[in-house]
Parts: sequence; structure tokens; C-alpha cells
Amino acid sequence: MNKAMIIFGKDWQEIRQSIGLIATMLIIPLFFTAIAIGYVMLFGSIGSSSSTSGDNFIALAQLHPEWSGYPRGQVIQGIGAIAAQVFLIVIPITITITIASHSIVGEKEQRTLEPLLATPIETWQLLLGKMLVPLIPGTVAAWVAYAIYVLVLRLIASPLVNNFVVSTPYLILVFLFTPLLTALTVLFSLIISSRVSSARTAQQISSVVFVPLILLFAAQILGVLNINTLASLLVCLVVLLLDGGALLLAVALFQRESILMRWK
Amino acid sequence: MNDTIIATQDLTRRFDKLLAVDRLNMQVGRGQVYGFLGPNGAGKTTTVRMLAALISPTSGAAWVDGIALGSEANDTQIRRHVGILTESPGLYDKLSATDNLRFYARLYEVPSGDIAARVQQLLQMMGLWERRADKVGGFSKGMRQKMAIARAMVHRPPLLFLDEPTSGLDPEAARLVRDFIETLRSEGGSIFLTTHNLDEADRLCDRVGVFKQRLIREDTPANLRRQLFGRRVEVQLAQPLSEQQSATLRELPFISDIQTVANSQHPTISIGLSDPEAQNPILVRKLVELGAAVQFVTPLEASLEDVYFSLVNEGEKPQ
Repeated sequence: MNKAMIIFGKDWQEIRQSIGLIATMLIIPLFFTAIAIGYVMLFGSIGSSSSTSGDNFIALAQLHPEWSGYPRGQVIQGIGAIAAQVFLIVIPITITITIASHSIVGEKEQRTLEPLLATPIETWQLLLGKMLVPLIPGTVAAWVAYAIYVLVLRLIASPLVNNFVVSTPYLILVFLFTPLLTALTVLFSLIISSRVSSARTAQQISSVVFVPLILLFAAQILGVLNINTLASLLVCLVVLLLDGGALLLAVALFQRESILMRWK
Repeated sequence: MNDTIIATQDLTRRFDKLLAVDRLNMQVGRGQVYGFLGPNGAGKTTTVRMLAALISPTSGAAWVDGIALGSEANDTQIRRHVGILTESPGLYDKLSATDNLRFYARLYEVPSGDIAARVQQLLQMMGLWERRADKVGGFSKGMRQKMAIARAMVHRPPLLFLDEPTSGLDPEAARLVRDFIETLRSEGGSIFLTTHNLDEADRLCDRVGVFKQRLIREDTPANLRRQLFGRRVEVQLAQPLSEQQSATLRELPFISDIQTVANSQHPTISIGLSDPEAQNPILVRKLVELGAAVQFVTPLEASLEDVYFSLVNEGEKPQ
């Protein structure tokens, strides 16, 4: 673990020197948090208008019996809050893909891998260190963004939305699902990085992790899937299993010799 | 403590159909500088990578500092015992000289209380102390190479692998590296040196192995020269030898041949001897008896370059 933290410390020191990566880590959370808040506000304005354009959303609210009794405007804003979840999840994934691609393929690009592997570091320590580099800032950024999101909504959103964003399924989403999905993204990036030679290519291929995520949230917005507490935990369990599988695959692919030969 | 720092037994490495290293049998003594010579693609880097526990052999066995290669635990242990200068310096450009060395010192398990002093010592030794806070991305090629050598030594390994340490360096930097290797040797360090610079190998190495997939021949540079080319002396005369003088000289039992040196300003002959130290006085006495006006007698030795090309061209001939 200590050597994994040494790798993490070195990579973090390198990241701090890169204005591009630091800007990515600051701008992305602010940008997507602003979009999420804007989304909630947009739905709020639809709900408060007298037009019938928000009626379609009322049908989706059937999946939330706890919302019965709330005014129509608040319910429509609540639907907006469901839709806005995806923007908060995008934050750690985007940061993770950006950092992971640089952190892993960077060793290959700088030709530092052979001296690194010549040290008495175990393969799992190297992999863990490389996993932590994007995982920690990605998750922290997501949590900071969530805190900003909740605080801003306290000021401008309805009680229904404010209750929804601190409900158990939502907290599970933020504090369990987000790190698990971020870990999956990191592992996916690790696996991709073993096959490609440039950070840009790794970044582009790793972006496919967005596809199932968008499908998941589309299903939720369209009412196909209702993410209650049990469903949230089940989704987390599935992602945890996927994490385990991806970890095994990454370890199998990242044997010392194969890293050296493929990453040279 | 074992006197052998590296021992291999039929060490072989194959990459699919390519046989990179074929049944290498070799021993390197502790405290020696061992030169590993061979053309590009001969398998030198593959050998170094196997011995540094970076890649595993296809078959055969090897012991590094008494530890058998092969198991994960042993390989990790071997990596603690060796330092390696790889073909590319492999430094983190965005980190300072100090941070680069500190990072490797921690990975090599140098006690945290010793790291600062060790880093300072190495940077001072390499003449880089004044640039310690600068990012290595701005360093010249020579400075980067010195940094890479410092990195390889940060944990005071008993064995150092140096892969082309002076390649691409300007003469001043190359000299500094060579001086540094000589200092290490004088301090009893064991060095496994792969190089294309045969003059460098001749000057620095206690033993050399000529390698092309397999070890063609190994010995001290002097012995290799002697075994392959014998030894000669060149005699400069005031006047050429007469036919009769030459014939009488050839009758001496220890003379293998006499050749006239062409393109020489003065009459000069080259004489093959098996043991010049013992036979030269007899030869000179005989020349004087024969009335030859001897001006100079110069010992001649084939260069390591001659030995190298002879062996590499000879190729696959077993030792």
C-alpha cells in the first residue's frame, strides 16, 4: 500500500504541474454542476408556467408515489432533478478518463516504465497506485460538486427537489455508485492503455463508458427504471461485480513482462 | 559472501520464433566490471532485462547476488539488489532532479531518514547539485544521463547494469561517466556494462564477453587479444635486414613469423613472438650480433576492436 501511495504522490505531483489537467479538474465540476442546476431551474420554470407542455412529465412522476400531494410545479421540477443526475455522474468519469489516460500512457510516452518496473514494486502496488491517481480526485470532485449542487438548490429549488437530492437512493448514488463507477472507469482506462500508445487514443476509447451510463439514466427519465433504495443498491452491486471482473482482467493483462513489452 | 555476483546456466529467451538468447553460460565475479559486447539485436538488452528480473527466461537458470531468478518473491529481492541504467534515461520531466531521485529512493526502500543525504551525495557527485530544484525536462542529454546513473545507484546496489552509458554523450560528459565507472570499480562495485564503444570496454572492463545470441568468447581483454592475434614487436632499423640476416633470425625457435612493415618511413619489421617479455632480450641481442642497427623496439597488440570483429564475424563458433 505504501508503494501505491508513493506512485500516487509522484503522479499527483506531476498532475499539479500540468495546467491543462488542473483546469480540467476545476472547470468540469463547475460546468456540469451549473448545467445540472440549470436543468432543475428549466424544469421548474416549465412547471410554474400555465402551458400544458409540462403535462407529459407528470406521467413520469407516477413512479414516485411519495411525490403525490405535491404541487404540479414541484413535481415537474423533481423530474428535472432526476434528469440532472447524469450530469453529476459525468463529472468523475470525465476527470477520471482525462487523468487516467495521462497517468498511465504518460509512463509509456516518457519512457519511464522500464526503470519503474526495475524497482522492487509489486505489480498490484503499481496498479493500485495508478488506480488511485484518477480515482481520488475524480471522486472528490464529484462530492464537492454534489455539495455545491445541494447548497445552491437549497436557495433556489422547491422542497420536493431538496428532499429528493438528499434521499437515500440519491445518497447511495453519490457516495457509493459514483466511486464504484469511477473505479470501473479507471480499470477500463488501465485495460485500454495496455493496448494503445497515445493518451489521446486511450481517452477516446475510454469514453465509451458513457454509453451504458446514458442508457441507464435515459431509462430512468423515461420511467422504464425506478431507482429506489433497493434498485440503487442492486445497481451498485452490479457495478461492484463489474469492478471485480475488470480488476481481475486488468491484473491478468498487466503482468510485469506484458506491461514492459506492450508499454515500451 | 559468494565471489560470484552473476551466474547463468543455459539461460535462454525466445520471443515467439525469435531466439534472442541461446543457452547463455556465464559467471561474473564480485567487484568486476564485465563488458558485454555485441552488435545491435544480439540480445544484450534481453539478457540484461532477464538478469534484472524484468522479464523471465524461457528456460535455463540464473543467480544474481546469490538469489535464483524465477519466483516472484526472488525477483523482487533481485530488483532490490541491482541498479539499472536503461537505454533511455526514463526521468520524469515535470519533476525536479531532487524529486526524481527522492521518488526512486522511496521505491527502492531507502530508509526515509537517509534519503535527503543520499540524494544530495549523488547530485553533488554528478555535478548537478546547483540544478537540484530544476525540472529535468530542461536538462541536456549529458545531464539526463548523469541523473539516470544517479537513479540507478540511489539504493547502493551491489550490482549495477549499465546499458550503453556513454551513448550519445559529448566527449566531456562521456569522460565523466567513464571516470565515474572507474571510481565505482576502485570502490569494489560490480558493474555489468553493455557497450558498443570498444575502446571504453578495453579501458574499463576486467573481463569482456563477446555475445551474439550466445556467448562467443569471454576473457580479459588482454587474453582475448593474445589468444586471437598472438603478440608482436615492431623493430625499427637504420638499414633493412639482408636476406642472410633475415634467414638467421627466422631460425630462432620462438619466432613465429617476420613481416616487413609497408608504408613506414624507416625500415621496419614486425616479428611474431609467443612471450615477448622473455623473448625480446634474446631477439635484440641476436639482432645486434647480426649487425643490425636497431633504433626502436615497440610492442604491438591487436585492439579489442580487432578481437571483436574477428569474433563477431566468426559468429556462431562455440567457445
